[in-house]
Amino acid sequence: MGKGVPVKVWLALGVLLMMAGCGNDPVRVDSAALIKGALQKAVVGKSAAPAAPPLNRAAIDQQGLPLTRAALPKSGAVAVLALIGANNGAQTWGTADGITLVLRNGVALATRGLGTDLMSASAPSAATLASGASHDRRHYYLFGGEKEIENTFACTMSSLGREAISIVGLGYAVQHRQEHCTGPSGTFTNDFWFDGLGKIRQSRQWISPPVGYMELQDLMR
Amino acid sequence: MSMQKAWCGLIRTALFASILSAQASLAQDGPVPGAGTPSPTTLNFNGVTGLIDMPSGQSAPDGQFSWNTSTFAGQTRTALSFQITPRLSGSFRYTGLQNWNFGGFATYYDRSFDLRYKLVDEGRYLPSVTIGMQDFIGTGLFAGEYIAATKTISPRLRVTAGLGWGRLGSYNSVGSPFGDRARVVVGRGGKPNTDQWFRGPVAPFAGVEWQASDKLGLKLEYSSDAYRVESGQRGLFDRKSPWNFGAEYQVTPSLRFGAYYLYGTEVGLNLSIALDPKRRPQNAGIQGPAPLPVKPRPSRSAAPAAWSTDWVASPQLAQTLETVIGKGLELEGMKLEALSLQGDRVQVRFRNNRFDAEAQAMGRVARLLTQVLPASVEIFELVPVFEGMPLSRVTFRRSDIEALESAPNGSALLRQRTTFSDPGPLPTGSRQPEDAYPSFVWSFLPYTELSFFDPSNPVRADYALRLSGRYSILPGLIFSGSLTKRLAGNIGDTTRLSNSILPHVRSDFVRYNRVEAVKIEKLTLAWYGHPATNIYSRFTVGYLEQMYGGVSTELLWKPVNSRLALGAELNYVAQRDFEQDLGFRNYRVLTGHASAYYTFPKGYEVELDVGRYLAGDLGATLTVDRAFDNGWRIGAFATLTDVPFEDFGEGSFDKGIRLTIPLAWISGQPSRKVFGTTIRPLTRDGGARLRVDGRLIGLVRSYHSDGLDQQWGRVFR
Repeated sequence: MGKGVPVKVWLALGVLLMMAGCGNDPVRVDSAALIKGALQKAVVGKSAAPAAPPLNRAAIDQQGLPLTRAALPKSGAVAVLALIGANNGAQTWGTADGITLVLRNGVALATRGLGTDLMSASAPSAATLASGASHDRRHYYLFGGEKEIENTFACTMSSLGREAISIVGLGYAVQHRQEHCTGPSGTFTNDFWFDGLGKIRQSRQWISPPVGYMELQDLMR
Repeated sequence: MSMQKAWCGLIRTALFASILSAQASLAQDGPVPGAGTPSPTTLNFNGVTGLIDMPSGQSAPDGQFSWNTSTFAGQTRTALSFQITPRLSGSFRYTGLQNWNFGGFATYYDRSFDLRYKLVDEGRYLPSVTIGMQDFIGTGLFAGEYIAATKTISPRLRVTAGLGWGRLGSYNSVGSPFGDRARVVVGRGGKPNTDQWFRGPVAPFAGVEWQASDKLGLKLEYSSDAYRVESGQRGLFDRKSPWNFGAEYQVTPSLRFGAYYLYGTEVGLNLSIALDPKRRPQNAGIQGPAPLPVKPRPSRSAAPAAWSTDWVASPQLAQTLETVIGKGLELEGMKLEALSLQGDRVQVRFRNNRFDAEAQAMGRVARLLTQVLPASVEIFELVPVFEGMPLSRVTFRRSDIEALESAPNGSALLRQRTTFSDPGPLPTGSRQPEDAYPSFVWSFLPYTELSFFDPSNPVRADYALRLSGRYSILPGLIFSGSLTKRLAGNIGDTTRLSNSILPHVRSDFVRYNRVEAVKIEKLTLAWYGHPATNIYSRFTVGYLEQMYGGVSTELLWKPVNSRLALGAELNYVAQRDFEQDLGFRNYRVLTGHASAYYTFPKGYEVELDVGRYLAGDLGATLTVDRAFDNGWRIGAFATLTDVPFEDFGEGSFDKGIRLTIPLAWISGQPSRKVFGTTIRPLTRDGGARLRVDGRLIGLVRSYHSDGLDQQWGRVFR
């Protein structure tokens, strides 16, 4: 290649970047690890989602903590979240690896740690969803910039009738309702399964375009 | 042999480009355009929005930053383009011409600048119309002006017609409506060729773009460039036909590759990488663990005891709070510098080592405080500290944090109830953790240094190791240094040594880069301070940069909520030995500037520096940057001094572009690391500034309203 960069130099570059640095300077050393991770991701591809932890009713009862099971069908990720905070009628649920979900009586208001998170939302109450009334939604995202971008939706409800569902060994007679939302940014359909007391036992709710839907199950008795 | 060289050049460029695009392409795999969405604009051989060799009337998406390399007939063109505003775009292009035999080079390398302005947006009937100037300030070798119109017939089909002058009016011209064109004088370049613009013969060009599928695009054009010199005088190729054909393949949303048959005899290739700094790599989003939730306080009526301020009298509790807050900050990659506790308020001074957005760091500190502080503490004053300087005071009400944690658009609502002010002095009675100072950090890492567009090679690189250490003695007083050792590379291989008639203040860079021994990159003692309201100061002494050592002092006036900042810098420096050991050469100079900085809406930042440069020349530098919310910065600068253009040498005056990409944007993970580079078409000695670390505006701005507000949506992330 004449006077250009010899191939061996490009190989050396790759090796050097793969080489972990050392030191205690957080800005520099952490970034070396990030570059290495990013390159590996580019070469090897996306890391596989971790296997779902096995769940059984006895283990849930033994926990004594309120738990929710969440799944992301698009990525295949599954996790069990514990209640870690409550503020203003909203509950924060968290995983051990730093993902949180804010629900208000089962209706998703926010996520953190999923990448393109639902930053905040004006969402209907569980009672509004159960009543079948039409309503509006506002979802807020940080897409490219660093300010919350509003996506608005007009939503209608439909009832799919009574169903029987099972959540880790417990059976429930539930009312299946669908929420159909349309806005300038697109459409989505959420599913909610209400038990006899009007509590959301199971749901499938829209989070964001990259994350897709989240499936939730209330693991409490 | 020469053909092989051209191909190697393209491959080399592609290899570099692949580093840039590996992440971006992986990340930007967004939704595929649907049937109703017009296919994206594409780049031509010159790296501007267009057909094959001809431009089109469209503009790239606002903010698009692209790298384009094309080759045909022994010409390799590499262009960086930036859509500066929705209508205005600029390009910097570097062209290698084989067998040109000009000025003693077998392969001649030419640098040129383009500007384009979209006059008319496409409407139902109106086409998109763009006026453009190509190589308008350079040697004029590629000079041409045009006006082009493009109409989208269907989402996949576009047609373009235009009129060209200069190079673009050289084939089948239809007359000279605006008079004769002055003769092309291939001079030193750098001067606007105003007596040529839109003069001389004008010729039509046209073309069709058909996006056959989401991946495959086909192009056909009629070129108005006669390549008179290349095909006539120099006989570099045979231009037999004005018709060009091409097929392009969209490898990823950001990477496009094309193959062409040009002018009836030549095969050409084109590779382009187009990045959208406004769009976060989509599948990545903002990664990193979630914050702690807010812990609300019990109501005052339900738990009056919890609201008591009796705790203030307990030194044990204060010690416990200091420990807990210190630990909590550490878990978030931050460091507690000082803590002042009062019955109703707290002031936390902290250093953020992790988050690229200061608002995110502040939101995390505030939530941590809700978890641990007694209920009576209502006012949270957060004072970010960098290089020991307190840089602003962000005052939250705890009840607002509690009320807005999960409120729709909570970040914007919180901003309305948050005040930014000068940090003021450290409150009396503040607790300063014993382990905060002195502190020592070090690292030993490999790094790559790139040198772009020197006159004989588009990309040169060195691979080296760097050992860095930083000892913070007291807040603001920092002793730091770094040693480097070059392992491999070719930055120093260029045979072009300086021919400057000015003092060689920068143009001997090759001799500095050639050194194989361990070099002292920097070794300084710096003292940063906030001596008075709105005033910041820096004093640095030692080996300041690769080529200079000495004393550098700076003062900056910048109110927290002001878009305007004023600064003054004075340095007395001596030129370092090429070996970059402890020795100096004989050149000494007093250099300094008065500076004004202003942040315009939408992140356009303007800086004007007036003063004395390294060669003793007097003049001014104007810099315009576009700062995107996520930390991307793209800018251009130009310096005019009292050095005559003839004395300056090739290029006539100092100018260039600069680019900053945050690692957080590339990886999605929180990090304060950024990659930055400055590209000068030529490094000469006129208008050269000292490159001292820690210039105050860069440290201060992201903690003031202009920087904080830009990223405020992160406060609840």
